[in-house]
Amino acid sequence: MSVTTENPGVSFRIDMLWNDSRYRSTFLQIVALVLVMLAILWLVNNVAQNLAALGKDFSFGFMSWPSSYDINQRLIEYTSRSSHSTAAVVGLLNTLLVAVFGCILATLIGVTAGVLRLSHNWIVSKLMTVYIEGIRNIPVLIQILLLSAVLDEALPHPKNAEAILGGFLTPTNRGFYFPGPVFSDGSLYVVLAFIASVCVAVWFGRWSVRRQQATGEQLPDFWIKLGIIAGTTVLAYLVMGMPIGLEYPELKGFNFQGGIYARTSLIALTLALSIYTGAFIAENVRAGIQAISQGQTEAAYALGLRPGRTMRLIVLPQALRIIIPPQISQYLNLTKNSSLALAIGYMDAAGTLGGITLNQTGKEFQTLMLLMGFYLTISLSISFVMNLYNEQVKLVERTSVTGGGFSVLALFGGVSGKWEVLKKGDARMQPNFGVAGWLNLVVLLYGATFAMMLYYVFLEPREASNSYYLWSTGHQVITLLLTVFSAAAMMTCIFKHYRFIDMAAIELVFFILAVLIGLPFGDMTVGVPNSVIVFGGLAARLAIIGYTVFGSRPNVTFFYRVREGSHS
Amino acid sequence: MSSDRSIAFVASGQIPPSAPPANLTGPIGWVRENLFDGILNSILTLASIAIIVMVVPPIIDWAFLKGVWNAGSLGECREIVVATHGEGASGACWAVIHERIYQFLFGFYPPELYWRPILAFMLLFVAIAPVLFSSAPRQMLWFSLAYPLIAFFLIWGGSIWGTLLFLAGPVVGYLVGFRAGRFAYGDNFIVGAAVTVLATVLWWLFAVTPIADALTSTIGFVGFEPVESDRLGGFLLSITIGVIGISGSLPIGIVLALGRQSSMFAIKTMCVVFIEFIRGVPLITLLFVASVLLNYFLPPGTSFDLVLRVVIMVTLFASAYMAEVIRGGLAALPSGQYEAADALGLNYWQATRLIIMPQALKVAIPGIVSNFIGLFKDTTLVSVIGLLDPVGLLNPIRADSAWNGILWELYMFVALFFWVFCFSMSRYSMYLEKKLKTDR
Repeated sequence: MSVTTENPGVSFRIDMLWNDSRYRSTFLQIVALVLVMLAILWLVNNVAQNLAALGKDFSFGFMSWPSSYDINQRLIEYTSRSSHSTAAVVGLLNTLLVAVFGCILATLIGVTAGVLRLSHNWIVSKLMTVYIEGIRNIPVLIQILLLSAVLDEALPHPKNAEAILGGFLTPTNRGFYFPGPVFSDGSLYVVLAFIASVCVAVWFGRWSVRRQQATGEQLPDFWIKLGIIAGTTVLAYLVMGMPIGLEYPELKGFNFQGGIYARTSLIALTLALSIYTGAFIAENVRAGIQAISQGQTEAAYALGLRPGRTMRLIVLPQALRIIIPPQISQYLNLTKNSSLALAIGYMDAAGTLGGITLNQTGKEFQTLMLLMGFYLTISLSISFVMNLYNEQVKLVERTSVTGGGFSVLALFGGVSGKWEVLKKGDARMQPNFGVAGWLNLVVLLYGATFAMMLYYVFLEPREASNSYYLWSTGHQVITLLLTVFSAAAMMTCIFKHYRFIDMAAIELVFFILAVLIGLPFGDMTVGVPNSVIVFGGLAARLAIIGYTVFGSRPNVTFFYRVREGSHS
Repeated sequence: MSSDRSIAFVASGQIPPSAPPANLTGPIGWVRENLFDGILNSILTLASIAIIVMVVPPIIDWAFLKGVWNAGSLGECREIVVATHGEGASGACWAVIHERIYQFLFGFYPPELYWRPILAFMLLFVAIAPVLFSSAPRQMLWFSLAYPLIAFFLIWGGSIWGTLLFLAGPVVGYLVGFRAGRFAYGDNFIVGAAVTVLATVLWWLFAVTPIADALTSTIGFVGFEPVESDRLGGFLLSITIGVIGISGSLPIGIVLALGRQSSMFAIKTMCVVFIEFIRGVPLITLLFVASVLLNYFLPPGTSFDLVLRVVIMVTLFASAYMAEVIRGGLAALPSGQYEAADALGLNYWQATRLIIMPQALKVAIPGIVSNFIGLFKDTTLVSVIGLLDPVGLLNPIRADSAWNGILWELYMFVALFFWVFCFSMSRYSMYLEKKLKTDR
């Protein structure tokens, strides 16, 4: 009995669209796409009608209006005459402030609690269980509100406040006051000396590793590096006549002046979020450590490694592969939960952009779009980086190959020879194998572009008339895309991912577009003429792409893809 | 001389093993091994004991020994504490909970109708019993399926006609799709299912309201007194949002996870965009969207209830997270399972239903339950947009002149409520994991 899969005699019938597996998938996708398009069209149409009915327009021009409200916790210059966009940036920075400190503190708490919960000391591990199970199961909003109320009531008024920790911290119910650094003449040299010493220490570390690989001898790397950095910096500090000092806050009138000021709400929010997230991190840490089998430790001991090295070289690298992905999502959760600042009056992004700016301007649609865009940007960039990291550390599986999907490299195939997607696990494909050191400078180029665009778009104090939000849509979009793709190129280069070439190519396209529409590069960097940036940037980008595609060494291992025949 | 050196003792057998030293066994040994094993551990133990001694007795003293349960205001509370325990003593003022308990439980629900939410809550246990425990009779699942409408009807009240007609939607859809439609397109499952869904939605959109009105005018009003959404509050509101969100997010999450794993590019892209968008923004911004923006997306002039809008948003939010957890379960399955299902000749839906999903869901249970817990905790966020859930009730109470200055008692009470629910959910998930474990 013969079975024919293709029957050329049967002509196409309409029901083959959903009965024949050759057409079904395409048909279903088209139907779904059409339905979604119709739904979006309907929604957009409704929005347009509603906005028109309320007499509102859809532009972001309001971001350049004066904000006329005060924010008393801020990292950059801001007055009530500043624009709404500056207020938004103050809010964004406040969110990031909480996120950064919260993540650090949560990690400290979480790792400690996680390790202690595994301790064979019965009472300690039970205490940690109580902490973890108690905190995890109570809504974080309640904890934030409670802590904030407790701090408000328990702490003294500034008039009665006393400094603790040797004057380092003055808690009051208005906020916490820390001494701040004061930079006088010559401090620049101290900072420069510090940076230079870090570079030397890094160079020394590489030299030491090469030496160990060649001779088998080890040096006390950590102490030598510490000596280089601390010694140089302290020496420079003393030579320049101690230019960096501390300024202690002083009570003037009803409030403290000087030093660094952190509002009670900021402290309460950071503490509550880190205690809450710490409980989750503790569980991640515990799971990660427990997942590494005892045999790994025993095998390392059998090889003669001491406990410290066993931990550092054997257990931690394996445990981190398990711990880090959920850890990152905990950091993301903390960042997103920091929007609860709204409930205790801390002016973060949700409090400025989604709070007062929304209420004052009545532009619910635009402000919420910007607010969501901000959180989305943070989340997506972190998950982008996470994906790059995961591709580096994931275990080799039967079907796992890196690459796949369209890549700009395919276009170069005809010019530079045939490219092949390699399976992971090949020793020469390991990320750090044979990377030309100077390629790290590429990171600097894209990093500088990214930082410059960010600064120019969001921070630079400009006349309201040429604010980013008043540009034409084309300029706005291309600027944003250039910023995004310079960041993407930077990250892919740091992680030595083969997509770097794609990102660099796309970035080049937007760079050229930005030049063509006349983006004022010259304004962005003080003193550097426009032409230098335009032509220099173009040449550098072309050189990088050319080298990674046609160059002899780095592309063989740098991007996981090789030319056919160059290995066997 | 030789007799002097005669052998005095010859072992005739093995000496029985002697008991271990007293300080290595029993309670003392346990304490030595677990609490005072090394200097660091001893310090940790002493520090922990110090913390416990410093924290626990004062809390017990404050909360239970000196707590006041009956008083009209905070001042009265303090007077009672001072009168019974002497000057300078401080005790918890649980009287505020005692006075406001109904507000905490039901919000501003009409007191004479309290039996309705209570009945709905009790039926909830009947409805989730077959889901939680496999020993319950399977027929009860039909009740679980109908429960959301029953609960809706009990809590919000209104005419029974609307509820019944809504319930009839799928039946009508089935009749149209698989009975009446047969003459047009024969025995085709996909078309039948599509027509069923379409007919059901059309029924809900266009038939329910006019027929319900007609029934009301002909037969008369049958049902309960309607209760406005803004009167819902307290734990009633939290549980309502939580239960709807939980039961809605699981099926949507499964569909999204399958879509994200799909080989169809358009479907996959849509699912990825939806999931990543929802997961990338905080719930609070979505609640803002629900409270100020959702009306922009509807045809001009329409608007619907805030609680309903919030419930929709919370459900969508939770389903994106659920999709990721289930995707994790799907990814954890070895590819041999998919290949074996293909080799048996199962089609996509059969393989998914019989081979893939049961295993993937089993792997995903801890994640699913912790999502449920997260969702239930997140219901407190509705207080930020002005709904009066337990957290939203705290500030009005603290602003009341009689209870001005009260703090710990209120927060502890609300926290304890959430803790009990969330902790029991996490214990249940551990029980389930253990029960479903098929390997050793």
